[in-house]
Amino acid sequence: MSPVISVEGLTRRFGAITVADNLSFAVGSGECLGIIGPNGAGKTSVFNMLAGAVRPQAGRIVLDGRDITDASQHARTLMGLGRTYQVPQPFGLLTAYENVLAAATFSRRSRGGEAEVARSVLVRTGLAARADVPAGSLPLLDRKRLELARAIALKPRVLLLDEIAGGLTEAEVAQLVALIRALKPDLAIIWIEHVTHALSAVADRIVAINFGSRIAEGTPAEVMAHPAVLEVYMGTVLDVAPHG
Amino acid sequence: MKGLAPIRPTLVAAAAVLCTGLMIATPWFVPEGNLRLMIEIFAVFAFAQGWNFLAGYVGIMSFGQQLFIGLGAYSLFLASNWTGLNPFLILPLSFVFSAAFAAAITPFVFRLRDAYLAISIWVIAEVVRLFISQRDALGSVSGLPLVATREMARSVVATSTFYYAGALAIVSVFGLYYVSVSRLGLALAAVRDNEGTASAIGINVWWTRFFGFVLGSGFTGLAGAVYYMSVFHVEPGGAFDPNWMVVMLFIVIIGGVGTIEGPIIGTAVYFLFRAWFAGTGNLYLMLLGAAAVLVMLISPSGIWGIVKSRLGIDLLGARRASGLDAPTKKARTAS
Repeated sequence: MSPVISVEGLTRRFGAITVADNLSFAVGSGECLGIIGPNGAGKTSVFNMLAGAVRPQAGRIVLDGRDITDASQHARTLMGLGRTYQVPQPFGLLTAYENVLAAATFSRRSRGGEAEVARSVLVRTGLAARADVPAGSLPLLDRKRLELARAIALKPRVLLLDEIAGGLTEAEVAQLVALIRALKPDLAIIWIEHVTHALSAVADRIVAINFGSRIAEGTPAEVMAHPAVLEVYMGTVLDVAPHG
Repeated sequence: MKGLAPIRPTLVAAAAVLCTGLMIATPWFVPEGNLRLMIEIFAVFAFAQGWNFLAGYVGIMSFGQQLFIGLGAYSLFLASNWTGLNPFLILPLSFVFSAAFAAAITPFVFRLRDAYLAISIWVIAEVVRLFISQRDALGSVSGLPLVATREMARSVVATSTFYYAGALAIVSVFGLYYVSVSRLGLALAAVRDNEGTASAIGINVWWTRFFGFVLGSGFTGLAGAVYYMSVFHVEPGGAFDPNWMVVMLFIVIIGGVGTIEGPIIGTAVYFLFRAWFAGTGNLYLMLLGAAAVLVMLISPSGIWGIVKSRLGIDLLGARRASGLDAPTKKARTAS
């Protein structure tokens, strides 16, 4: 099966800092790729390049067989890319419902049924009781839920999730995992997450990156046990292959 | 007001019809002198709503909207004087010209953000004012008369101008309402609140801002044409006067930016202040300033902001109800 989204040789530097160094990966429909790495490893920058907010200096991004490396952000959304932001970025003066309604309205060219989509997404993400509250006055956790709700309402083919489990209780993490599992069959999901047990419960494969380079890739269990990953996270000094 | 939500579209439509009817009937029972005052009030209200649309609905802060007041007036006066056409028939031209001018400057001013954008439009207004002041063909500093209206009966001119001004006021209230609840209004609100997220949900941010800026500026140009048509004379110092901007800011900020009701209150406050204190010279300006500061300190969202939050009244807000709140309320009272 051909991948829905693939990235080849993605490279980006901000001055001396390398946020992506020749990164390549591909994700197919029904598949979830997890991305882990320490703070500043370049995870969110990779998302910004996938979503079109930041241009890569080298490399290609292909969505459904089309090269979207130079496509604008809104064009990528219309082609089926949906993202959440690590730091919630709602439309602050609009209500939660209007935030999701806007996503349902402008992410597709055909009209009709937006209100129903918005309502059902709010119910699924546990925001129904806060639907008519301005997003700017929602507490942080609800704003994080709203990030997910807005992304789902886009009905994307590729869903980019950026640390949506952080700060949730165990019960809420379980709900979130169930929700993402339910979405997964129709989607290619790329999920950046520090809550590794949530990620391991959904991801088929995990890529670990540090300083913009891939240091490990494999099943969740393989990556979590990989010496390079342990070194980066635990500071364990092991004799590992050089990384850059 | 949530209980009103399902019937609100009907109420708003009824209010629009009622206001239009009143507007049509007004010249029959209002003396000509009062009509002139009403024209001025409606035109100034339209200036304020034009700025309110940009600042509160599109998210473009411009400190140079007097540019479009002047352009609208000059385009009408020049077109009518050069061609001899009836200014009342070619009035829409001032909208087209102002909108086209706004479209032409967007590639430059949209490269700037926030305060720089605000000032850049002001600078363009000054450049246009100086350009006109130095061209004899454009009337130079002493300005231009509106030749065509000289041969018309005064009452016809007053009534026709009044109808245009009344139409401006109605569009400023109901037109803005219908834009704000439309699909375009939702896109504008999204772009206003967060441009990055707006792009991420599929909105073309540049074109949405472009469309909002062109529409709002074109409307201001139309209002400028109506205002100067009622005084029969335009000169660059008055038409491109930054004081117009001060008036717009005062009305919108004191009433409540981003609301339709706010500038109605703001316009009433402005003209009442002028009626009561205009004879007091500098004291009048100090009072205007003091009133604006006072309102901003008490309520940054203006007088209508207080009404909305304290009394829970929202007449013409663009809120889209989810329809999800009813069961939750029931559940809350049950528990």
